[in-house]
Amino acid sequence: MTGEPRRLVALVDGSAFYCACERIFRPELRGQPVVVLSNNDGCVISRSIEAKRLGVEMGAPYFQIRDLLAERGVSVFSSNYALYHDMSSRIEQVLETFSGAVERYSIDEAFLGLQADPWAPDEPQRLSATARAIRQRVWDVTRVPVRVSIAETKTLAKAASELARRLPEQSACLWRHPHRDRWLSSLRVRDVWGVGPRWARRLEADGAGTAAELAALADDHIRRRYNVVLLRTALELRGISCLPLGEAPPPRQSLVRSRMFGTPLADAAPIGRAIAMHAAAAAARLRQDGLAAEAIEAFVTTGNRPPRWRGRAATVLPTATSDTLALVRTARQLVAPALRGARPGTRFKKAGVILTGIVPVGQRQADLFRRPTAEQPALMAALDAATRRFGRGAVVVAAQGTPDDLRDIHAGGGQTAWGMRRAHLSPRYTTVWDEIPEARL
Amino acid sequence: MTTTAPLPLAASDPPVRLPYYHNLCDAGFPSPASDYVESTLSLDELIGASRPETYFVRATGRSQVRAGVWPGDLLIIDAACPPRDGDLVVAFVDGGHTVKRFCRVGRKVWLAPDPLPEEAHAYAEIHDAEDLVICGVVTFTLRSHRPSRRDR
Repeated sequence: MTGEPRRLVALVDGSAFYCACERIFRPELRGQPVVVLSNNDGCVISRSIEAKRLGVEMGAPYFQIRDLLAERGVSVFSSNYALYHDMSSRIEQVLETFSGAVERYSIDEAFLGLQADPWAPDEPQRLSATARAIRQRVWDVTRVPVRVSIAETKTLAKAASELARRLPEQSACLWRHPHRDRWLSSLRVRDVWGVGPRWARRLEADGAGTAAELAALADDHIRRRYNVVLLRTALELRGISCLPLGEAPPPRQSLVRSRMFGTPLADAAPIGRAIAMHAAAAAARLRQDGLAAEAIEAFVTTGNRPPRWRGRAATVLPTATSDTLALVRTARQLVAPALRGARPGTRFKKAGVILTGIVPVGQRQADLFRRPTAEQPALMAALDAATRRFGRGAVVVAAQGTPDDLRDIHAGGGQTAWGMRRAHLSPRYTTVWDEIPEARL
Repeated sequence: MTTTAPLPLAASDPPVRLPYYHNLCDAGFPSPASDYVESTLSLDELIGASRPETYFVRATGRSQVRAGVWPGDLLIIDAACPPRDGDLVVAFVDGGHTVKRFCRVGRKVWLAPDPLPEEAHAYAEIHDAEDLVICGVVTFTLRSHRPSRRDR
């Protein structure tokens, strides 16, 4: 007798992914404490387990812990997104050999659709072997360690990932696992995916402090005292899938690109170039994700010190677009209005763009009564191809300033007035010819 | 006497795709499909440039290795391929990446700087397979015979 195959979900999760990427071409750092800093070398956004054990907190401002890190011999890196994105897409390619349904959830997490034969007695063992094989293959191809957890739903797979974290093989199959109930009873509700700290406190007060207890709450009770989102989480914990693959997080509603200037600026020209650069970066990001934006805002601020001043100007695009030229052109037109009203000589600290009304390209609505945004898809494809081939900043819109300006910023020197501080940037080992690793003969 | 000027080779961009005809030397009745282009030659495909396990590494240092690798050569590396005895590999030794010959006899594994078997033992650096960091097997090398700035 054969039944319907059981649909399962595997979660592949890179632990301290940015740190792991920094170790790929620096194997001497394996087992050593590593941290990666946010843009502008602001704060810790990734820490290896060794750094965690030394007491380095996530989000800790770099300037506060710089001495401590040096003293403890922690290797510090500026964020090298070119490298992280490339490694992430290599991992995705590996995962696609294991499943036809791969959903990249974030740069270091992906869900895979798997199937199990519910009638085969050794299916759980087979799936555990698959989980180990995925982990091994990702390591072989990228030298990035990942955890792999398999369960009936995304929420359970997330929970199983916590289980996998504690196991030497760093992988687990929760489906039909003999200790499944015991594990879910020991998982605190605050560690369940989708349960925020506020609800966690309320659930604990409500006598549902563990994942198992949340799953056991009555539907009506959850709907009355909480909401339908938490009900969905409870159902998922019971093994009923409410977040099918490809359907998980709705596309981001907004996309923000902004950055502090190296030194405060009063002059409109460099501010305009910075805003153009942010608009171009945001446009590239939209195209990468198959999205388009309906509105764009440009803003400048003086930061937190008085006299505080924040200027902004926004406009709705004729139709949703991800076209670099259209977005840069529009952003440039917003610079003067955004600066209007500021006292002459005001020194700004930061500028950026916010794109809103973000929709998948297929879903955008044309407005019958307005001319659509002028787009040049072929040019954009060429621009993206050139960027992939020659690196970021190889081809830029003239409004951003010269490619040399951009190269200087990316080199981390921060020579341009609005450049970013990236004093600890590693080479773009896999995406720029001049930065590939070298091997002595 | 007539001289034939060499055909000018136009710089082409995008790169030329060379048609690959499969059926050229068939004797007998010509296949009706012989006019079809079967595929095109792609260097990317040959070296697996877009496979996730493929990495590029630049060779530097000594004048020449007897394996035929020169400084400035572009090494195409397969990170996932398990090295076999005699493979050229990129390994991480003494804090840097180096090109070495991978040797295995039984369970004994070592790296030789050069592929000369009679000398290999003199240079042998015997390692437990465990603590040997092999970054990948060199599958191809690419050398420009008209070095530009980039190729040094």
